[in-house]
Amino acid sequence: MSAATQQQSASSKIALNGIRKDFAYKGRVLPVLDGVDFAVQEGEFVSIVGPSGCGKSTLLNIIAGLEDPGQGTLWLNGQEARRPLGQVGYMHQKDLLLPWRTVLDNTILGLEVQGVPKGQARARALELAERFGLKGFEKEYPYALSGGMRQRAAFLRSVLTGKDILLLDEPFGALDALTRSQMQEWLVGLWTAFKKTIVLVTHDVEEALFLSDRVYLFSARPGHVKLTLSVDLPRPRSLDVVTREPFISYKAQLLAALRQEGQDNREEVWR
Amino acid sequence: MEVVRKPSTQKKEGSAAAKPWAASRPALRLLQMWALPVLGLALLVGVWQATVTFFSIPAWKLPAPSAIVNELMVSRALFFKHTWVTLSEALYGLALAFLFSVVVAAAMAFSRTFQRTVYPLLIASQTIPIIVVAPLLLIWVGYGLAPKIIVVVLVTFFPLVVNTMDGLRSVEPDMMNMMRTLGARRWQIFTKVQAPTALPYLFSGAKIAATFSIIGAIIGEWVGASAGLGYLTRSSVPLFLTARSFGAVVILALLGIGLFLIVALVERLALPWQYNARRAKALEEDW
Repeated sequence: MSAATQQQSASSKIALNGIRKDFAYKGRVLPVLDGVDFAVQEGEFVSIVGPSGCGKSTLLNIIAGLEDPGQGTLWLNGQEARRPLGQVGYMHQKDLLLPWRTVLDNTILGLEVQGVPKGQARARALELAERFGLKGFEKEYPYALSGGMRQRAAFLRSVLTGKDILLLDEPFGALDALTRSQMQEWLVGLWTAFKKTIVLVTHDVEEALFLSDRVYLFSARPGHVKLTLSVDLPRPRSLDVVTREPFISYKAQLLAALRQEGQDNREEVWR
Repeated sequence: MEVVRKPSTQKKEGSAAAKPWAASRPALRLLQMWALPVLGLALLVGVWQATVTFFSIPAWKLPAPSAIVNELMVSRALFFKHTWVTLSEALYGLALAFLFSVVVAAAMAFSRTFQRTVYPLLIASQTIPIIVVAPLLLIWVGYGLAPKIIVVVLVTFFPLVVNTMDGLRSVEPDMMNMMRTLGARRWQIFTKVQAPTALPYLFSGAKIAATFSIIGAIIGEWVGASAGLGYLTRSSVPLFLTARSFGAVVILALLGIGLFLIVALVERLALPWQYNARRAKALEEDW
């Protein structure tokens, strides 16, 4: 690694240098990530889009510490990190709420794990319940809530842990279109209010552009950054921004690159 | 809704309680649940009674239901004494099996090596007929309660441990990963996620074990005992006290059903979230 990239990695919130990752599967080696480099600055909202199976989720798993960075380095808060479990908030497509806990007790799970006394943790969760649209539902069990509410409860669980990096793996993938767009607006509000650094993985090009400062387009497997697009749109963005320039040309650019990726890589690459 | 549902919660209930336009449905449901089985039983008993009376079958060959009830009333002190013995054997055995199974299942969930070593042995042990082991226990631990309790432990341990272990291992990998990203330690994942997930499975095992425990106690008594309902049935037959033998069988059946119902009741009280989620799901489907 050159001195310049080292310098850059150390000043970024999250930095990935030359991440390579293979999975062994039935005696064969499947390269999943092939030389991923990217950096996210403090307070940025960054999205990763790419074809299915391009290693997006693996990348989030590496940043979250669920998997090691293979050959390559991961930097968090200016320090090299290998398995930074418990240092970043991670939100899954599924809400993963525990069905035997009330909504309130689900949201304090992370605090409980950290050893915060239950009463204190509950008080902190209650302060934020309104902002997360959970007011009046704190004592309900998850089955009684709508999909959007459950997802917000899962968000609150991540936010309460106090980590300033949030990784979102298609958090709105399972929601209907209307709920999804409401949740997107709500998420932007949350991001502004809590000053988090967010990395979002999504299939949805429009969602990525609407929410992000920068979009990374991944190649098909083995994944690497194929295109980086800075989204130069003023904030706050209203919903009708998506029907005007320059949003439309951004979208066209991303879709064209995605389509090409799909054509170039019809066959699985095995090594 | 995509609540993480245990297999046991997927049973659909014919619940119609919340349909205002179908007020007769709860009554119908009650009828289906209770009235029909009771009617069926009454019919069976009636035919039995009539057959015995009509063909004048001697009581030592096949006692009429009325004769069995009569015997139960007349010899109630005797029945009570022997019931108490059998019930104690079953309950002691169940309690021990419960403790062992929870410890072993937890150990298997924690250690793959332990699981690989012990699990095949557990399955293999189930292929040995208990009726072969029971007499040997008399040689090893003598008469009295001990050999019967051991037989109960042997027959009830397996359903308990297998169900509990399946429950502990049924946690979704995503759920485990979520806990790990929250910074949870192995033990915290166990107590906060795995153990509660396993509870419904544990109760399923306990329902099976509850009925098995009575059978186990009887097997234990059958090979050598001086008290208990198993002993009573066995000692009554050579004396042609057939009604007494039948009476013991009736009590045994009631004991099995009773233990099962107690476990089911404890389950409902201990896992209100599961019961409520099941109801909510059923209502949703109804509407």
